[in-house]
Amino acid sequence: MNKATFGSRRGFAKLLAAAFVAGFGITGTAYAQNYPAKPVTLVVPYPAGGANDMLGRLIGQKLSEGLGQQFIIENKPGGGTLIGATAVAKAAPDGYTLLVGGFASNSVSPLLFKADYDPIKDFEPIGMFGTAPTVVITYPDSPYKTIKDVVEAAKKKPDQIMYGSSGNGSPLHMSGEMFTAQAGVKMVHVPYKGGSAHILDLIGKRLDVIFDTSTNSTPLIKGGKVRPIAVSSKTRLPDFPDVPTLTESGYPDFSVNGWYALYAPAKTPKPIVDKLSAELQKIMKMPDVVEKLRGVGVTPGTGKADELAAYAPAELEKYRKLIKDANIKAD
Amino acid sequence: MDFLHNLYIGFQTSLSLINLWYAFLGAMLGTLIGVLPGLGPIATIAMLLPSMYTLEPTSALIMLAGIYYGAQYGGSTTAILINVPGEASSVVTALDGYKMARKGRAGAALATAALGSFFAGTIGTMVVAAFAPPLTALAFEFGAPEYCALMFLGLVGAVVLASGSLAKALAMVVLGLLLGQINTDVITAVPRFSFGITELMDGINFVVIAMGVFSFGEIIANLGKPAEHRDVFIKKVTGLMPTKQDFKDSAPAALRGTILGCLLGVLPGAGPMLASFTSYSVEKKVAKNPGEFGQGAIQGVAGPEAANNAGAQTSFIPMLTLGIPTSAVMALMIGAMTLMGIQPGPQVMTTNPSLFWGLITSMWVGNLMLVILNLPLIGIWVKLLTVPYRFLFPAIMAFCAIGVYTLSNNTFDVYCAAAFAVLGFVFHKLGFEPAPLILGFILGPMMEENLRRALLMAHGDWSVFVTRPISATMIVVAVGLMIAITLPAISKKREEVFVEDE
Repeated sequence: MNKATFGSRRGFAKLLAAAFVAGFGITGTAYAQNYPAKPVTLVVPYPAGGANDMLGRLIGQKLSEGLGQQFIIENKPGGGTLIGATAVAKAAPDGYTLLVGGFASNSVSPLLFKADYDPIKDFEPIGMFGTAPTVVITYPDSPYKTIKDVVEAAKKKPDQIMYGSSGNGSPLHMSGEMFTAQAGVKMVHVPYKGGSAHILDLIGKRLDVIFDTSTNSTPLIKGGKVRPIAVSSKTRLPDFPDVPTLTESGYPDFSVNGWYALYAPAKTPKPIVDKLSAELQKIMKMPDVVEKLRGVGVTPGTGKADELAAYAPAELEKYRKLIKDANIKAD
Repeated sequence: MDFLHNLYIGFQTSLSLINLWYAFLGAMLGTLIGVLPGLGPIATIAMLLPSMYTLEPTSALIMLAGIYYGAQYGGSTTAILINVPGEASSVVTALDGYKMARKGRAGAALATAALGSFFAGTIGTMVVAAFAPPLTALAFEFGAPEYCALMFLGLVGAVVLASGSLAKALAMVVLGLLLGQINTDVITAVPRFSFGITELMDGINFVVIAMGVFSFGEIIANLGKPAEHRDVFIKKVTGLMPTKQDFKDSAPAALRGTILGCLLGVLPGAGPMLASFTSYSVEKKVAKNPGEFGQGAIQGVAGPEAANNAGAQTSFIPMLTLGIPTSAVMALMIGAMTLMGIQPGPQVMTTNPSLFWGLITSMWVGNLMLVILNLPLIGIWVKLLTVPYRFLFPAIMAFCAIGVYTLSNNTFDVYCAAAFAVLGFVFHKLGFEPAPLILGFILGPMMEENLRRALLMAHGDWSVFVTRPISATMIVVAVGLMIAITLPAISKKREEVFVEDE
C-alpha cells in the first residue's frame, strides 16, 4: 500500500517534470549546467562506520567542495545492501539521489537474495573510486608462511583448516570459495555476523586463515597483529612489497576485490552523469584523497564511467558462476 | 612508572584549554541530541561528523568522545524521565529509574546516574591505561563456546529482571527468543521468518521493540485511564539531589557495577549491555529488600549505570590494543580518524602517543564535563515532567517516531514500532514485564550464532562446551542458578517477596 502511494507520487512528479521540460524546451544540457541546484543525497547501503560509509563520506565531502552543493550521506542499511540500493534504483533519475555501491549491492547481494532491482540495468554508472584486493592473513606465529603451506595442510587434512569471514556473500567468503575451488582443497568456512569477531578469533588462533579485504587488514598488518601470506592484486601492493601475489604463488586466475563505485538511477540525463563523472575523475587525482585511500588499503580508481560500465557486469557474471559452482544458496 | 607517564602525556593533551572546550562542546551537543528519544550515540555522531572535518584531529576526537558520552547520558535521561530506553543498557536504567521519577525522585535518579557513571568512568579510564594488555588477553580467551555459555547464563539471569510472576517472566524470555529468530541465518545465509520483506532480513531493531513495548505501550495505557488519574508524574518533587541515605545505598552498588563493567566491557559485541543487566541481577540478589527492585530502588539505577559506563570505557581496549572496532560507535570513530588523515591501528599508540593517551584521558574529561553540565540541568529536566500530559505525550510520540526513523532512515521501523506499541499495551494490561523479553531478544540470536559456530569449529562435538574451563564454569553456574530459581521452596518464597501489590 505504501509502495503504491510512493509509486504514484513519483509517477506524478515525472509527468510534471516531463511537462515542464516539454513546455519550456529546457534541454538536458541546460539542466546539467544548473546541476546541482539543491543538496544531493548519497545513499550508503550500510550503517555509519565501516569502509563503504567512510569512502562515501570522503567522496561526498570532495563533491560538495567541487560542485558547490552539499552532498549528504544517508545511511540506509539492511537486507545485505538491498534496501539502500532499491531506494536508489527506484528514485527519480534527476541526479539528486546517488548510490555508494559496489561489491555487495551491484554484484553479490542480488545473486544471494531476492532483489527488487537489476544490479546493472537499473543504474547509470558514474565511476569507481577504488578497489580493495584480498589479503590472505594468519596469526603472527602460525605455521603457514606461504600459500603453498596452506594448500598442503588443507590437502593433508581436508575439512580441518578453517577460514573465517564476515558473513556469507562477503568478499572474504567469495575469496575463500574461489581459492578452495582453484586449489582443489576443502576447507571449513566459518561465517561471522559482520563486525570484527572473526579477526579476534584469528588472533586467538581459533581460525587458521582469513581471506580478508585490504581495508580491514591493512592497519592490523602494519601493527604486527596479523601476518600477510599473499595478496590478490595483479602486482605487489606498495604497502607490502615483501608479500607475494597469488599470481606469483601459482593462482593467476584468482580475483576477488572489494570495490566501491558511484551510481545514479537508470535514465539519469547523460549531461548530469558526465558532470559527476568528470568531477569524480578530478577527485581521484587529488593527492590527499589518494593518500587517504591508500592509508586504508584501497587502490584508488579512475572515476571513469565507461570503466565501471565494463567492470560491474563482469563481476556479476563471475560471482554468478562461483555461487552456482560452490552451491551457495539462500532463499 | 609507565602508567603514570602515559596518563601525564594524555592529560597534557586533553586538559589544554582548547581541548577542554571541545570536550565540553561535545558533551553538550551529545546531551542535547541524545536526549531526543531514540537518537543514540551513533546517529548523533554521524549527524555531527561533517562539522568536524575542519578541526585538528586530536580536538575532533576529543569532541567525538564528548558527544559519545553525552549521547549515552542523554539516553539514560530519557529512560529515567519518560521510560524511553534508547539503547539496550538503558532498558535496565528505565526499570527503576522511571519508577523513581514517578515517585517524584527523578532528580535523585538523574544525579545518581551521572555520579555513578562518573565514578565508573574514572575507574574505567585508569583500568584502560593500566591493564589494557591483560584485559586484551582475556578477550582472546573468549571463543564461540565461551560466548555461548555466557549468553546461556545471561538468559537464565534474565528471569531475575522481572519483579512479578516467574511464569510470566519465562514466557517473555521465550517470546523474546522467538522474535530474535527473525533474521538471516548467519551460517547458511537463509532469511528466516522474513516473509519476503527485505527489512526483516536483518531482524527487528532492538530500539523498535524497546520503544514499542516500553514507552508507547505505557502511553496507551495511561491514556486509557480517566484524566484525573492520568498525571502519573510528580505532584511534589522531593529534592533534586540524592540524600545521604541514597549515597550510602548506591555507593556499593556503583562499585560492584564498575568491577563488572570493567571485566565484561572487554568482550566485543555485548559487553557493556551484559554488564548492566548482570549488575542489576547482582544488586537484586544482594539487596536487603529485593522487593524494592522494580519499584524505584536507587541501587537499580546506580549499579547498572556504573556498569554500563565502565564497560563503555573498557570496550575501547580491543580497539586501542588491536585497532579492531568492537562496536558501531568505534567503527565510526575509526572512520573519522581516517578521514582526518590518521591511519588507525595498534601503531597509533607508538606513532602518535599524545593523540592516543589524549583520547583515553579525554574519556575521563568527557565524563567530568557531563557531571558539570548535567547536575545543573537536572532541575530543567525535572521541570519537563510537570508539563501537562496532554502536551507531553504527543511530543514524546513525535520525537520517538523521529528517533525510530533515524535508526536506518526507513519508515518500516516506525510501522514496526506501532505494532509493538499495541503489543506493549497488551503486556501492560496483562502484567507481563517487557525487560526479560528484551534480554531474550538480544541474547537469543547471539547465543544461537555462537552455539552453531562452536559446533561448526568443533566438527559437531558437543563436549566442547564442558571441556573448556571458562565455558564449563559458566554452564555450571547457570545450571545452579536455574535450580535455585525453580526449586519449589525458594520459588514460593520468591512469589511472596515479589508479588506486586498494584
